Amino acid sequence: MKIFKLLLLLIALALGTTATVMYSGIVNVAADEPHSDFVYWLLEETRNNSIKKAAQHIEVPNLEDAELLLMGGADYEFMCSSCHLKPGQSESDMSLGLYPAPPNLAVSNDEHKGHEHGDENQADRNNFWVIKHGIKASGMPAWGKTHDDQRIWAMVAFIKRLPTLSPEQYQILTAVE
Amino acid sequence: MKIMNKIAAVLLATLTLSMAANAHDPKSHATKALKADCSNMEHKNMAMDDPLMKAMMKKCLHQIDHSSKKMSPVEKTVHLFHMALKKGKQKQARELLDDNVTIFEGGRVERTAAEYANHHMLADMKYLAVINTETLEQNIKVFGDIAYVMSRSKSTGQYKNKDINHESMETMILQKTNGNWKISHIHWSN
Ligand code: HEC
Repeated sequence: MKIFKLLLLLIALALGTTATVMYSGIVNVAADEPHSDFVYWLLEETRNNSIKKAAQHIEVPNLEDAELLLMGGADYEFMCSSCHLKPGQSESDMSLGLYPAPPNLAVSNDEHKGHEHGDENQADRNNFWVIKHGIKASGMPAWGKTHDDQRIWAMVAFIKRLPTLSPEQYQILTAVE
Repeated sequence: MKIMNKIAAVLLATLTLSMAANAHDPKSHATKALKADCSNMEHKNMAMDDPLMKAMMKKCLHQIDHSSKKMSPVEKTVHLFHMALKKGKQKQARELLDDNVTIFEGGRVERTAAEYANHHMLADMKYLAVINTETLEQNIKVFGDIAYVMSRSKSTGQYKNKDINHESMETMILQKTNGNWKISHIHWSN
């Protein structure tokens, strides 16, 4: 009986705290005000584990293919580079203004900070999943609603080579004609 | 199929332009190029069987096909020579000239490819790099291993702070040796 009362008290307390936080307006949702380290860690871990789990059974096709690179290149330039940048570019309105910030996909993983990447296949799988489904409450849209898997794999293939490209090579690969 | 490609190109162009409206750095608008700039192709440290290399080749071969597919060998030689001058490709321009080419230009004469390559060509390249030229007419006649090409073009632009706007005449005589057309005479005037 005593335990039951204590439990009830705790639940009431938790609900109370949540309600206070929700309704008081003390949580700052401004995108130009970063999360505290703790909240950042919490979200980052949640996100990484969620993607990893959701993506774990996706089968990665052969990505070493010229056609895929061309298809992915054109799509990347038009749909992604405004947020994720391209060789020779270090910032854009989107890359600066969004929070969480879109990672610069034109530099290699160890250059963009704070991310843990597993083996190569795992990275491809994760990228495929993220591009297809997007990431909640971030600027990253779900492209799977409007693009088939083939187009998405093409972007995965392109992103894989992107950090090695010079601005000139990027221009050739992504041009319309 | 061609029409579909065109429609796709226009749609994509519209899309880029509308996306570009998000980026407020005006420089990024100016550098949006829809056509692959294949003069910049680097392939030094890349293996031919690298899919990335293949992809770039595909893009650029397709472009060459487009600009010179329907050209006769003579027309193509002249076209490549013009492009080489415009893009400052000295080696390529030199290779299209017969060793003993005679060139009349601006009231002067140059009697070998080497002489031209070391003197006037560099100035011509600087000039052509910044000037727009539009071919108004081109007349080609081929007699066996000899051909002549007469072209009239319009040049516009600015060079050394001077406005350029005039018509230029060009007569070329080409000769086929060992299966290759080479330019053995050029007369330029305007
Ligand atoms: C409006 C901006 C925006 C656009 C456009 C956009 N993204 Fe993103 N993307 C983001 C943001 C923001 C994140 C990070 C989300 C996070 O960390 O929670 C992200 C994350 C990603 C990631 C995960 C990267 C990693 O290392 O964790 C990939 C892969 C990705 N985007 C690919 C793409 C591709 C491919 C496209 C184009 C089809 C694209 N994005 C278009 C904003 C954008």
